[in-house]
Amino acid sequence: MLEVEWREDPYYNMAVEEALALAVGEGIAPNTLRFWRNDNTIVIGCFQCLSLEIRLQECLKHGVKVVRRFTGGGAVYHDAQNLNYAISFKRPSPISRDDVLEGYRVVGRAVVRGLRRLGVEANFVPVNDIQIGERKVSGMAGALTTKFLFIHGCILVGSNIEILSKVLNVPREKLEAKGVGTVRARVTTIRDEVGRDISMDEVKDALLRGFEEEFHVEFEPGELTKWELDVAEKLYRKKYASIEWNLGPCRGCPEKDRDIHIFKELSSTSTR
Amino acid sequence: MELRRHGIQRSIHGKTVRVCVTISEGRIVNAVFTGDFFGEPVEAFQELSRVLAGLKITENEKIDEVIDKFFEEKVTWLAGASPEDFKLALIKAIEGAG
Repeated sequence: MLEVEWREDPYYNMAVEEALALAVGEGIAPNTLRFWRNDNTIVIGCFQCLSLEIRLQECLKHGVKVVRRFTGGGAVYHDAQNLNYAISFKRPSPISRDDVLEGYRVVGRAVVRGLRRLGVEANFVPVNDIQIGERKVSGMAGALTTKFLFIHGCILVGSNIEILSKVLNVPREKLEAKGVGTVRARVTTIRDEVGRDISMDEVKDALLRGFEEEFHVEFEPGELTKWELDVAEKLYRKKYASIEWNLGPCRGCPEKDRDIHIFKELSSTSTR
Repeated sequence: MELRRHGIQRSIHGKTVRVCVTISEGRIVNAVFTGDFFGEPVEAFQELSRVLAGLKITENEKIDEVIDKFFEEKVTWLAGASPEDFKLALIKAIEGAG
């Protein structure tokens, strides 16, 4: 189990995330659970279009950085009151058929178990959400290669939902499918649900116990290996800090030049 | 003259497929698919635009065939959407282009 984070450098945080999965896949590290945070960042899915999904001008106004992850799914907003969890398994994994959708279900169950320890009744809702009642509190994404199965997710502990609503441009079709009119009406936080100022450590501890119960293991605290740090550094330079990767599939968009300009301005404030 | 059109398809599998298509003289110049679906290998998805380039927008059957072949041969797994959603998003974009 790792608790390593670079809150002011989401690009490096994401490089570490992929390096961990690769290390587990290669058998260099054991199956690994990581808890970590970004501050004031949008993390966009690997197939998403920057200009369509994110209000970049609002990001500029609020100093919100943008990083593309290596997994699919939708854009999410992270701040220091949002907790990320990530679990990497060497294949064959304990997840039935090494199936990513089954992975969401099982990891979702671990998170639900953890939340129950805090007195919150949550449910896994396919494809990849964890909800309290009708409101989303956590979303997951995953990757499957020949060597590893990887699932990560973020959980809103006490995040600034007002900023989240301003910077994410959720399609009307998606909100309608969820039966709501605004992002604000679609999400909730752990703090709102428990009705007290719950600490990040308390949530982390509860989730850890939830993962241990679900997977019948006791996670040992660990540190990043030299291999992981070296690979993370390479991924950081060649992939996550690059404009090419973060622009993603939309290299021919008419808005590309404006996006590059904003991206450069947003990423210039990153510090490790 | 080039036309740029956008299509969006909300899948019954839970996710959204979008496409930005550029059309010139009745043919697809490029068709960039984006969305919140899941799939691997990530890099392969950019090839879909290349294999669709040059097709006439009226050749619906050919477009369907190219998309089906792409998913059969290049994509190891897809979740939250199906190849049909990619076809529907493209049809919506093309129909919008008149």
